[in-house]
Amino acid sequence: MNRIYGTAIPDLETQMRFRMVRQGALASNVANADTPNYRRLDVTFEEALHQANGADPSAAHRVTRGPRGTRPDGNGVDRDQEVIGMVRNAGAFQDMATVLARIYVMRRMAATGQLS
Amino acid sequence: MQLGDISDVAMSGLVAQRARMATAASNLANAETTRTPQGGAYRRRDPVFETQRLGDPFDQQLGKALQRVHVSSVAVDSQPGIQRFDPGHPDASADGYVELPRVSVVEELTNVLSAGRSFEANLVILRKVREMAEAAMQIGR
Repeated sequence: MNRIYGTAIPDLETQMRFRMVRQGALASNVANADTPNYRRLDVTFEEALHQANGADPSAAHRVTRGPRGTRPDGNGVDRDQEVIGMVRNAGAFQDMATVLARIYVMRRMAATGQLS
Repeated sequence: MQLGDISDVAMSGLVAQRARMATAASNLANAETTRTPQGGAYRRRDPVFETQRLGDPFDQQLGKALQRVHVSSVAVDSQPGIQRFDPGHPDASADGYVELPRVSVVEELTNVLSAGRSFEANLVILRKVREMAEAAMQIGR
């Protein structure tokens, strides 16, 4: 099966996991948009690290913490920015889920010899 | 479930913003209250937000950092109220001054607007997380 689809399935899985973890970080930022001295969280996907670690998805991303904010309460979160990032992140997740679903449909078609 | 943990964070934001809305409503409603069980005029209240580690971390690295918000306490204004000369007022002192709450209507309304916007932002998160869960469920079909 891997000969047909290459590493598409594990790659999509890793990316979806990353998107989900990042969604958690952005949700944390929005929830704490009014908490004094809160520093924003983000998650970066590290391709090189992912390859170096083989297929260990938990090692493929890194959590970063933003600087202290310039607002009087020391909070570094721009709520609108977080919501925009979160919508884009969720969109990327949904795109990959759609692709993954199509791959499984194609696999089923190949296995059964029937369309759809 | 992992996406449930994210909903948990967004839920904490909804609860915190609701508390902020409630204190602002209380401050606005009591902007002219001169009599309280503690004695004296009403003192304005403000919720204090604090981060809280998520109980069940779902990611090894993010789990240590992921934080929800909770209202740790409600701060009561320690400043005395504003003195206004109104000898006819039932709560006026001997020299004719009455103590009124130090509540700024503009400040409270700004708080209400800001809390409402933050509440909506957390709702968007909840909706998006649900959409992500639905998209993930499509894979098996």
